Amino acid sequence: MNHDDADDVLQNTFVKVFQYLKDFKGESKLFSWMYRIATNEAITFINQKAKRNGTTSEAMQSKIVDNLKADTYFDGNEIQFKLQKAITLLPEKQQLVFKMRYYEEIKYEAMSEILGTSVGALKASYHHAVKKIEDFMKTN
Amino acid sequence: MNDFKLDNEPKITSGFKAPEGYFDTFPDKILLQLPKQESKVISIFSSKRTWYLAAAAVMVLLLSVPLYNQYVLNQETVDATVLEDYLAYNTSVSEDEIVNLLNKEDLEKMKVDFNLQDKDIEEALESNANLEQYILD
Repeated sequence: MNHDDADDVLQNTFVKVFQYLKDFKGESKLFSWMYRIATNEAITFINQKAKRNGTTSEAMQSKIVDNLKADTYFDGNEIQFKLQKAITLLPEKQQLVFKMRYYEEIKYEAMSEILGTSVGALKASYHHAVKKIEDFMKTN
Repeated sequence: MNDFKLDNEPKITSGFKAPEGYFDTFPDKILLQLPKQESKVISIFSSKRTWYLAAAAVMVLLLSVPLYNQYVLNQETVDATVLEDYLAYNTSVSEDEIVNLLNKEDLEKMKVDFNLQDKDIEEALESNANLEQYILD
């Protein structure tokens, strides 16, 4: 994903938030509700883009990460780059959980509300993700 | 990197950054994409004309206060006794003329006003020094 893609997703997210705000029942926190919209928008966007390019979501993400160093809006060092690469190799759900927990530091309870998954399952997902990432970092 | 443990490493951030000023212009971008609202609510205080009219109304009110006071002063009610005294001492209207001006109804009313009691008449007669003379006559 590059900045333009992220910009598109963010704009779509906020337009949807405004459109559906009247339907927001307050059953969850506003943050969780918005985050869920953003997550769905992002996943839909990636899948649609992969479909347009006649490829899979995984293959496309791997290609994107290889081009990451050329991205103007990515100024990460070698270890940051390597972590991004490791993440793209994870299954979709583990990617999501890992990014939310490690980068965003969202609490499991909030994450459970956003993703509609139990806290136990989320912890397991994160644990698996960390193991795979650490293995990748050791061998590469 | 052989014993890489994510928790032992210093926090690795994502490495992405947003273009400068991106979030300053973001709300405007979103507002442009939102569907136009059906009816625009216009505040009554938004138009310049309303303010001019309000100012004019206040001026008119302020200017009319002294005029109103003057008007009220001129309308001062005349005290009934003062009026009566004036009529009694300062006019050349004779009693006959007044009687002519009174109609039957007025006279009826006056009769009620002068409804004298027998006692009053007696008192009046007693205090009259010429009473005996009258009786003798």
